[in-house]
Amino acid sequence: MGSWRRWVLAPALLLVVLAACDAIYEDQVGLWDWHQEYIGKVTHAVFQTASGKKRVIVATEKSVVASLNLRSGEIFWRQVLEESEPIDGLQVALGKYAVSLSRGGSLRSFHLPDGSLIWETSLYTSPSPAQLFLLPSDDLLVLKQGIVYVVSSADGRLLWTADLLDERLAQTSLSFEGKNIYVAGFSGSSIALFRIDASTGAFTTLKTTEPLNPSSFVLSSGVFAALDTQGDIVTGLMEGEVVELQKTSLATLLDSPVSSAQLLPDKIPGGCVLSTDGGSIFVLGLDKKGVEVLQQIQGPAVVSNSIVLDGTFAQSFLQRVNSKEIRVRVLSGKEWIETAEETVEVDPNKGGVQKVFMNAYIKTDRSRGFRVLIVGQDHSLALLQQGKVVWSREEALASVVDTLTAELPLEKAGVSVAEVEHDLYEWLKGHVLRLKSTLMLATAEEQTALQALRLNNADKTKMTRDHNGFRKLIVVLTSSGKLFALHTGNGGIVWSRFIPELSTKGSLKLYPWRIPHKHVDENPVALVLGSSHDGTGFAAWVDMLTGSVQETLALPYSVKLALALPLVDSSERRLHLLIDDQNKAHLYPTSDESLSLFEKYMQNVYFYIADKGAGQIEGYNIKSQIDSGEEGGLVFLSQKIWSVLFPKDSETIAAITTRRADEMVHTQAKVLGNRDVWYKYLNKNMVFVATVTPQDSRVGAANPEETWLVAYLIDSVTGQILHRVSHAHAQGPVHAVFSENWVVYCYFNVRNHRHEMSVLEVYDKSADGKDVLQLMLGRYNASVPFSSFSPRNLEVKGQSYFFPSTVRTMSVTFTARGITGKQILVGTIGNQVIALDKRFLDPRRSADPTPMEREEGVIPLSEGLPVFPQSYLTHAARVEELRGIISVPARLESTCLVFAYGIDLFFTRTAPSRTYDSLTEDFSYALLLITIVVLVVAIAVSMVLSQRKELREKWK
Amino acid sequence: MRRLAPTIAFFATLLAIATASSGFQWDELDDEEWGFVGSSPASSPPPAPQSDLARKKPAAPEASSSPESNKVQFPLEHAFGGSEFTRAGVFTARLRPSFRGGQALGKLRLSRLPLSGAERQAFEELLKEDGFYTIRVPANPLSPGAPFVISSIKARCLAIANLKEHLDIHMDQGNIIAVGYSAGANCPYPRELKHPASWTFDTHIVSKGGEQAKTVLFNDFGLGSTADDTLGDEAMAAIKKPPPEKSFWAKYWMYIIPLGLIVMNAITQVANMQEEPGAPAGGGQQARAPAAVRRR
Repeated sequence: MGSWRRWVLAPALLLVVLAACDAIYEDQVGLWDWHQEYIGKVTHAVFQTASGKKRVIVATEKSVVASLNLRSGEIFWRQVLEESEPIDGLQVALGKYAVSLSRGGSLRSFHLPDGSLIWETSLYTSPSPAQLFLLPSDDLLVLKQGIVYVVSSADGRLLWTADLLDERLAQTSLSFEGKNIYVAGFSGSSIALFRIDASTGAFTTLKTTEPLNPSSFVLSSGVFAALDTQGDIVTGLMEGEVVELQKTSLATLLDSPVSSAQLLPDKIPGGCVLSTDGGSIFVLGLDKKGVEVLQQIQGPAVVSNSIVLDGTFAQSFLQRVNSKEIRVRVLSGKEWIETAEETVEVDPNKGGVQKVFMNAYIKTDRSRGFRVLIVGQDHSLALLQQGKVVWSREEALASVVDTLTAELPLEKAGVSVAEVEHDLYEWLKGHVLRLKSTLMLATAEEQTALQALRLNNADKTKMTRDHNGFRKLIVVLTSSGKLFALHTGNGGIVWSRFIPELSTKGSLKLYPWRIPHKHVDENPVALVLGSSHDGTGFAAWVDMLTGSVQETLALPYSVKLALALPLVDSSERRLHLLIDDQNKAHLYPTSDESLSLFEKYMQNVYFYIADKGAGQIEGYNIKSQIDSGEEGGLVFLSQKIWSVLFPKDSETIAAITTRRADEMVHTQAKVLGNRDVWYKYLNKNMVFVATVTPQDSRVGAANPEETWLVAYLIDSVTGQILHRVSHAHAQGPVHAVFSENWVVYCYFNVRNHRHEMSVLEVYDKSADGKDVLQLMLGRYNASVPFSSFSPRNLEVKGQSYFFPSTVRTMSVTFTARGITGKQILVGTIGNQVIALDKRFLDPRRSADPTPMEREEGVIPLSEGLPVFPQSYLTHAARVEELRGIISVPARLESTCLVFAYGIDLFFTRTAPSRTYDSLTEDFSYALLLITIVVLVVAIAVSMVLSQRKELREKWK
Repeated sequence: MRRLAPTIAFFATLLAIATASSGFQWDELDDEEWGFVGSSPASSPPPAPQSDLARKKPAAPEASSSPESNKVQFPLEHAFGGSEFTRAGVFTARLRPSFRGGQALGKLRLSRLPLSGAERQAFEELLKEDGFYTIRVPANPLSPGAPFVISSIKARCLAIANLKEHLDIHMDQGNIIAVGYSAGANCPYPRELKHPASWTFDTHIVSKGGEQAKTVLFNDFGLGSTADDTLGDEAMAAIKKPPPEKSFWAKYWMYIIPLGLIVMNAITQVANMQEEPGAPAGGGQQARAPAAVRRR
């Protein structure tokens, strides 16, 4: 249906092109773009259920403070704080403020209903971990390495501070009892105990009857408990000047021999939690008389925070029953609460439970109920209540590290008639509504119905390939080791897969392993590689349409680099070389077929390894196959053939960028206004390297006269520096994109106090004087292989411009055939994506272009690059902590899909040269049809009329 | 406004001169001058006293610099397909102060040692297996030793070029960043096996210091302000150059043409009206007569 609609109406195309606009209209928001908000892995949570809206306040690893709806998990509000300062503590004070403590000593108070900042206090500046407590007086206490700060929760005023010890305490514990605050700290050699008056801050240092060197300790309700190195538990009441210590043997207390144990830092009023190496957990009661075992839990369990219920504490314990079920039990004092024991079925795809937060509520039958918020190993957040998972959030999506796209399967032939009819009815209804709207006849209800119809177009989320290639799957890999497939239509999660082995690996990457072209009915497969610093790696092969893990492999080496070779075997698996620490190359798949394919190609495999620390780039070539020993597999030896060494005291590597391997370039020739032809130098092995002058990171330390940026274009096969240009007064960070024969890079100019963007374009001058016919016949064009070992004659053109915004990340649009113009996608500090036309970054721009250049479309030179409000691809949305922008070509040449990720996800389409090859989606076909019908009728009527008139004339 | 143009041009020239003078004036050797070398008698028209001087002490044990002459010597080493590096020649250079502080190397000369018998054999071996001929130079010629800068070329490419080699030495403040090593002839893949006609290297050295980028152009009105960044180029161009005065015809054609049409129409109508009294009467009768005939 779609094709006739497009082709029948070709004459109207011109009209639409003229009407098309770069930006989108307000009612087009959400039509083909989507925006998802996340918060990251939760580290702290405080329930706020007393009055009004039921909500939970959370703080996350991404330094987000958010208020979530306890009923649905939706975000009421969120505040994104500085990511380099993790949140150390979160409390709710006075029942109306959420207070967060950041690593840099900033205490911020947010208004609970709307998240607005009420007050902010900076207590200290050292980036050391600290703890945040809420005093019984509703004031806030910050304990940082032996310094106590007490802050008023009403206005953030510092009430008092107590510097307990000169030396810093590595490990601290704190408890309140009545008017006193007790602090225990361990300075590395001895324990130090303090009693502080909560109202004044006056403190007394307490002595112990004997010196103590504990492995772990807690303070609870004025009782001190520690585990000493002899395996005894030592308790003492924090009264008077000297604390009398009592020793109890752990073995006799627990009735079983214990080799090692640990006191958990979780606070229990009048008690503590002890975990043993056997995985068992003991809840101990502490009082004046000593220590007793209240309850024992066998096997590994996750312990929640404790809450006070009817004068005693309650705490929940989560244990895994099997891969699908977890058991939740609540301990109140000595006894298990029978009614609260539940077995909850959870998604086995979420890994283990890492953190639990408990909350109690009154049920409709006046009895007490409990709910728990669990944080999974895959960073997901879920609320369990009444034996069910009420809601869950996939917070792993806040930490996307790599993405791939997969084509959906082809539409099967033989779609049922009913479906078509339904489709046709909907289609007609939509068009009637659209027609009414165009003729301004539609009522407000019809307008909303039309908008809803447009937004929820069923076509958008189909699981089949569409003609224009807009429907795809975005496979994202997250730092938690979980993979997700998102549908480009609405961002819905099609599948997700948690691979626990990946969660412990430091660097994760995704590679297209198998993209079927011949066997279209087979599914594409992605290779997931994880490698860690301990010298091990992990590989998994995942079906990109279903998410099933086909194969996993633990690698006995860490992968420094993975190369996708331009070779595929008979089952269309792409050959990959994994380079290990010793620069040995491991070939996958490990079949005889791939070996024979690779052997022919082996001599021409070159790769480079950049070592930013050492300031050098080294080039390697595959030399020979070696005996892989007991590991098996196909292993090859590499030899170093070139090196580029940047002088350490004047240059450090700031950015390295290469061309995308699958980039399509439409033409190698560039025809100038004066009918000259320039040939783009399209070497896929060109690498752009930018180095900057090293400097200390102190603000204002940069001396404009001594800061340089040097840009290199290096051939990665021979290591030859093709071009080298230095920019004075330039400072990093440097962001760069490399496409076709040009590089655009961005840096800060210290002297002008502005960001600059520079462009380098490389032209091959060795083809000069050869005519276009020869180029067309294939003698000199880009499809003819050329050797990096041959001499070349290049011309590099460059130009710099000011750019009005700070750049977070940069990317460039890619289209299916490379005919469409390019846009540079700039992620700004404001977390938005700007599409900047490449024509503004043309090095041939001059202040006064000649008429020929004007004819060619060269824009007159200006010092700054323009940013129009319409060029924001993200329109009103913000992609918090924007880290990456991915562009994927659609099948329609004019259009490119753009996916931006940070804490949030954003997806849209962009048409750098406008949609010249299709009609817009909201094109009113009905209006056109009606116009044609009306015209035909008018022609017929006027024909009849004119015949009659003619007849009448003749009768006269 | 037009008087402004020469002023702008003048300032632009001034600016260009200023930027050029703030940059570095390269000494005559840098970038384009070819250093000559080699012991090949066929291609050595200049007598090159430096190379003679170097040849007198070919086995200089280590690179050395003598303070009075500001001369530096450092070794060129080579390896055949991953073998140990051995001495292949000696570079001599003159020290001079660099514009960015520190010292720079100028007047680079190389005296290449002839290949020994064993080396020739190793080279032949490389030709057979299409291996790499690798060279290295110390990254810091002032204090030679590790680290080294390495560069390689397929031995067959060298053989095709008859051992004519190009060395692009990229330097920065007396440090060697990279050596671009290429053969003097095209070397398309697959490389054919060809033996060199003579066993003497014909070396050309280019020492490259890199160039400084063009700075952002400043408009005479937009220095330092950010507001005009958002103005757009069209607006900027409009401010900069007023559109040239249009001719009368270009300005008013849209009024003239309809006016002309109206006038012409009126004239023809007047002409028709003059003709009308006689003509329509006769024509009408003629037309009516055959119709009446047909009706009958």
